[in-house]
Amino acid sequence: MNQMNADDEKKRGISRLALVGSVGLGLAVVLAVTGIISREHAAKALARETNEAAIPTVAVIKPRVGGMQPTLVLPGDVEAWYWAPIYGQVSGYVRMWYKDIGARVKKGDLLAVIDTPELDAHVKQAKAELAKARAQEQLAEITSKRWDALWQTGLKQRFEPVSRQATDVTDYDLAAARAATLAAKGELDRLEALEKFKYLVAPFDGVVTARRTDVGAFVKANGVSNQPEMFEVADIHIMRVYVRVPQTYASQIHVGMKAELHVPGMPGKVFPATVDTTSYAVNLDSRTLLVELWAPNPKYELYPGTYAEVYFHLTPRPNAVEIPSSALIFQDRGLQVATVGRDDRAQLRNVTIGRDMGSSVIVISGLKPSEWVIDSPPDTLNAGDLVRVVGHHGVFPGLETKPERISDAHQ
Amino acid sequence: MWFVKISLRQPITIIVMVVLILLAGARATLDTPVDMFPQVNIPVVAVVWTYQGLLPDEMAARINYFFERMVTTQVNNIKSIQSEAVIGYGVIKIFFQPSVDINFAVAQVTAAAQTVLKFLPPGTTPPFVLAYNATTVPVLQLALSGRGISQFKLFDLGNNFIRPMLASVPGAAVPIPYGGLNRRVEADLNLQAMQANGVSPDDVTEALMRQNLIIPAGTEKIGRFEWHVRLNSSPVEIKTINDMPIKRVNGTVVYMRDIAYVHDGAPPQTNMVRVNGHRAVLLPIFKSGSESTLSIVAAAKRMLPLIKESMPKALRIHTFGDQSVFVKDAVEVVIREAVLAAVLTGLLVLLFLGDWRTTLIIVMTIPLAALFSVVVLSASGQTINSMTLGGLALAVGILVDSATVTIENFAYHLEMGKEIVFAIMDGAQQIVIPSLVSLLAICIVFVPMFTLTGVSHYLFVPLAEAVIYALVGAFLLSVSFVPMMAQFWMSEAHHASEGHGDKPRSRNPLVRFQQGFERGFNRMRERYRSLLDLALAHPAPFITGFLAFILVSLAVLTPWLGRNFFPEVDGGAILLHVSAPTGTRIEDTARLCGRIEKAIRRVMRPGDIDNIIDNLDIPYSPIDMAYQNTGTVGPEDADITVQETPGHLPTAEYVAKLRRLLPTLFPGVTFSFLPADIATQILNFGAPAPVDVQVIGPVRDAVYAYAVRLEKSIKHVPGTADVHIFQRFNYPLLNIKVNRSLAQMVGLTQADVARGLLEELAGSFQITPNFWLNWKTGVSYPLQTMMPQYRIDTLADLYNMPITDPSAPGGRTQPQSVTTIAGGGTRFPGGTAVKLAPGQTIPEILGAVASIKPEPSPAVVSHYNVQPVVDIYINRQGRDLGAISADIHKILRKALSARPPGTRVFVRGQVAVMTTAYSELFAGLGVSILLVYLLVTVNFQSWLDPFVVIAALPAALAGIVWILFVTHTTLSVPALIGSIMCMGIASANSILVISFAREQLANGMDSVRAAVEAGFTRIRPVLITAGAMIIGMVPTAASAEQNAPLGRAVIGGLAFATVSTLFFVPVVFSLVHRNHTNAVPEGGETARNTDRGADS
Repeated sequence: MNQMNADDEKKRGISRLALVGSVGLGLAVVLAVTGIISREHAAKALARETNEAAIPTVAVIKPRVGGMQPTLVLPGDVEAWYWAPIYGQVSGYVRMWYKDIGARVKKGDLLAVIDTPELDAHVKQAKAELAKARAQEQLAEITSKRWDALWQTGLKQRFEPVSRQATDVTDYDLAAARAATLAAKGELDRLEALEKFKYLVAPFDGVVTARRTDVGAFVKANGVSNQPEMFEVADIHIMRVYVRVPQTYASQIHVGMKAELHVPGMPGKVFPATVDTTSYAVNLDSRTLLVELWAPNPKYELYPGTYAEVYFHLTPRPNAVEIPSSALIFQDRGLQVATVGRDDRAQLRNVTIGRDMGSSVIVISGLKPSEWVIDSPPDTLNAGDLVRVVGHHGVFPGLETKPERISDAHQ
Repeated sequence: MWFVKISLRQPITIIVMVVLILLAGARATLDTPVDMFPQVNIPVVAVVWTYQGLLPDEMAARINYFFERMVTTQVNNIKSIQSEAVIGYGVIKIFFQPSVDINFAVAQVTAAAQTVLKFLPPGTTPPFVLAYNATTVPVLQLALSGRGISQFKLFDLGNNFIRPMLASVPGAAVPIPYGGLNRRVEADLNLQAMQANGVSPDDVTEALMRQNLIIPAGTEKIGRFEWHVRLNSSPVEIKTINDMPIKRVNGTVVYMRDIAYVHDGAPPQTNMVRVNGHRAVLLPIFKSGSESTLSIVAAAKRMLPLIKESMPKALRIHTFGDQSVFVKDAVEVVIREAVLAAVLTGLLVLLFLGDWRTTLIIVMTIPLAALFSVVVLSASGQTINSMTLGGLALAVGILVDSATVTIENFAYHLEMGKEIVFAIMDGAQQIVIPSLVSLLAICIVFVPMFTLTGVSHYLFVPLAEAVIYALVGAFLLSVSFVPMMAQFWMSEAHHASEGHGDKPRSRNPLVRFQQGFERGFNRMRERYRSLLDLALAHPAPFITGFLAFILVSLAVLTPWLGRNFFPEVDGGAILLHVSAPTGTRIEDTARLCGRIEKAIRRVMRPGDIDNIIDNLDIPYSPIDMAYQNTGTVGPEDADITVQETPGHLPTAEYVAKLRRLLPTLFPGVTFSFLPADIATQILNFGAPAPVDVQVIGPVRDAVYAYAVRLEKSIKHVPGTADVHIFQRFNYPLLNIKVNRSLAQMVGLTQADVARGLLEELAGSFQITPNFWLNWKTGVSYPLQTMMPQYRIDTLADLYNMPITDPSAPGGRTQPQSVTTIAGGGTRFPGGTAVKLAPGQTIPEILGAVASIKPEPSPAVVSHYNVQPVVDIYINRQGRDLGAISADIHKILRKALSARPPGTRVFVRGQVAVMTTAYSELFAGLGVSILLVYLLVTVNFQSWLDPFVVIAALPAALAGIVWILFVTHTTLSVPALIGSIMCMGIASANSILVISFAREQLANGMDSVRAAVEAGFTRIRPVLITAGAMIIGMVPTAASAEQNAPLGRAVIGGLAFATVSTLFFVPVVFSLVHRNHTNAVPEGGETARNTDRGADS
């Protein structure tokens, strides 16, 4: 019985063991299978996600038609319309000056008076000389008249009270005296004209830009080389601006072209100017073309001698488009931009840059205005790569609306 | 057994020994440096060349390449050379063989640098040479900010005042701060004024050189004194520099103030730090030498109040990135785990032994053995760190083993009615050899770990050492301390229990619980016996079934485990590297960072963010240049560090979310997430990503094109993330081509153009260094002339840059000063020619003699072993490194045929280290098993029985695979180490069973009975050992730390191995010995406690 019990127990044990064993094994299988399935799922999801992430996301922009006007900036010298240094014509001392620097003058305005005692004396002398000559002329006239009368009387009466010679002498004495008077008059006139130079006057409407004399200063006639001018008068209602344009740009500057002046010290102030003429010759030393511009200066804000930056607005190319320089792909293949087509695939376009303005560039060929250009393309973008368009960068002013996908935008 | 005798006779000696261990342990614990990781002594010497404004390709060609070639011939023991050239910096990292003497290496490298200096561009200064290793990471960062304190003032305070004070902290290395503005005395040139006055930049620099001199005047003896003489050569006030004359133009003196403004300022910002959106200056404190992280941080923090006293009131010093907190945390976590493990183990022992006194003896050996280990570690120069402590935590489970076995054997002998002393003597005698063997078995499996190379060597050898020392300590205690204590406490216990006769029913619920457990255990043991009988009755199906299960498990599950180098750990921070389109200016990058930060703040819970720190562009300091390895090469690069608060949501989830979101928000910007925790940073050592596919070849363009192809395929490998090519060759460059003939015609040479550009765009400092000394503070500041960047910001400005011939006297005369025109006639309109005095030249503008073309240029040029390389960096997300690496290798193999001639591709980075470590560890595992086999062979003096012991091991492997599979843990170095550990314990247990079975066999039993008896008798110690180990590993396994896989592997492996030890091993034994003819084995037998079953 014991044996039987033991056997029973053993059998029961075995069956229980088998049960426990198979349950355990089943559990193990379930654990393994679920574990593997969940991993498979995760792997698939991961593969999907990785493939998605492998597509680069890009922002696109539309190029701006025409593009910004390219600008050339060059240094220029601002000079006056007319500019006249005024020197003394007579020697003497300045009695008084009437216009100081900065004074606006009309033509003929008195600038200063020079005291010329020597000249005055000369005038007096000349006047006296004239009087003397006149007196002598009168005397000669009277004498000549008398002798003529005597000669006439003698002719009637057929006798010769005076000789013909004597009469002729008086006649020509008179002519000489008349000439002497004219000479004396001429001398007086000359001196009197000189006398007028005592009064320095403005040669034209303008501004006194220099006064290098003062009351009592000695002025020597005919302004010799070591003496400065007494005044400078400049006409500044229009300024002439001289710009030396490097040879490389010379062909782009033409008469009638508009330009702007920017002057240091007057930030934000812009003066319009127009190209009036050029020298039509390139300077041998500096290889520059001298260009003259006219800048109206109604408020007298521009001063002669000013340094100015001249902004020439060059004419843009007709079929040029402007794109931000961040859209350019710098690679050794040359400059390219990436565009996105209908199929959301990138295309690379070789482009020619007309002008680089730093933050943007003018593309003169290779890009149509209707194309969507990738801004900041990934470094490793190749033609035909799939891209995901996610929006725009917002850095470029000529931005169009953003399409979610390029294919939408084309519809 | 003389020392057991001594311990019994001279208990005081043993107590003194224990006290000594306690004292030495306490001292070692206090004195040993506490760090995150052991010293990783992979010697690296970094050489940093600086040359302001030198372009990357020129830097690489003119400086790096020269120097690298020189290094290869002049310096010994080089493992590899990496170099990187970015604008203005050339960084060469020389990795040495581990055996090299770093000081000698530094000396050789320095000598090589001196040799090569003459061949480098004029003005090149000798480079910074510094030695560092993988564990050189900032231990504390100070962020300086303050209302009303300018950026350059902040930098100045940080660099010239706070830095020297911190340098006095022992072991702290404080390089030049990040961010802010590098204070300089700047002469801001005014281009317009200069053109108007006819002064060239050269004139200004020249004048400064002549007016600001550093020339000593000497001394003069007058009367009784020798007077020192000082000349007012260098101005005291910056303002006075403005009044320096530059040159005379037509009788008018042009002063500095007329054409430039000299002021206290800074060069244009090239490194920016933002802390939570505000600009700041970052002062990292590095640990150098063997000083403890904790002590450095503590000393630096003590220094702060003193520093603050001498600083402006408004200055705020904000500390963060405090590694000591992490170190403390890590250490605390490990200690907590160890204590928990000790408590759990103690409870388990108590449960089995049912006697608190003996349990107490056993538990007391845990801290003593641990302290012993710390003492030995400290003496051998190791530090207290997460690795050594992890080793101790790992050891706790086995520490109790030898003590438990000893105590149990004492009890067994006591119960045989022996006197206490004899019981102990006999018990110890009997157990000491098996204990020693199992100790050796466990220690031996760790031996192959000493053959690991690279980072894993430095990380895991200390762990192995900690385990081994602790085990040795435990063993020594079990033959000295344990018998001594047992002598006092067990006799009492024994007598007490004797007095009451057979065990009474106690009222104490705990005691009753224990008694219940004991009854349950005995029932279980009976059931085990019948099961074992069953298995022995049908050996063939059992063995086949068992093996089939194991093999099927291994075969089916192993491929799904995945392989990583190290488990991913939540570092509590996100480090995001942002690359805006190449060449993006720093201000725009800063703005971009602001927007990215906003996006991050939207994604993350507000409470989770502690700080967000951005670091933009190349650091100011060459030293930081050497340390930084996040891949920053220019102003378009930024590192955004998001520091999380404790209790944040998992970092990996945030990273995954940001990875999806950021590219859609910021197209055109490249993002990559770098490891933020030090552990991974150390493992990645020098690379910003775990996988680095390096393409080396002679033709750069072909190599790059090939790399782009590879990159595109790799991007589609599941689980890869942040795939990008590190080298960028599209940095926008304005290529100025001077028409030399035309230039010559107008009297200019290339040199005039170059100097003009240098002084206007790069500043004069590199070519003509000049300094201004602040007499009040004693700090010298560089003095340089430069065009402020805002003055040249269009291409037209560049075209319009004046170029003058400095050799010609004077520049252009200004029209205003011309007063004399002969004859007083009208002026020739604008006719400059007539206004020029003889010898004067007209300034040309750049556009007149040169054309400017935008072109691509490299942003960085990298070399590996003196060859140009292109790196593809690959991160991983959601998939194990092993699988990704396999897929990448597949792609590389496929692309092999398309490679340009002469091109080679290498896979470097963590993945390469991992491959090495794995092969080493697998080999180690094999060697371990072999060593155990040999050990047992020696012990049993048999070739066959050790096989039976080893037979338990496949089950352990299956257990490891199962637990890793179920817990979704990938294989990793810690898991492999756990496996190795498991092998040791499993074989120790099997040895226990087999040695008993052999004795039974020797005593004349047949093999089946011997096997049953062995299993039945040994189930208790086997279960105690395995149970203690498993339960001791539970806290580690349940944590999210680096060593969790280790704990899991041990638990799974031991659970299965125990089953195998109890069933499979006896069955195999019976089979092996089924033809046994009762031969008496020769000596070498170990345990002879023939009828231990009697105690139940």
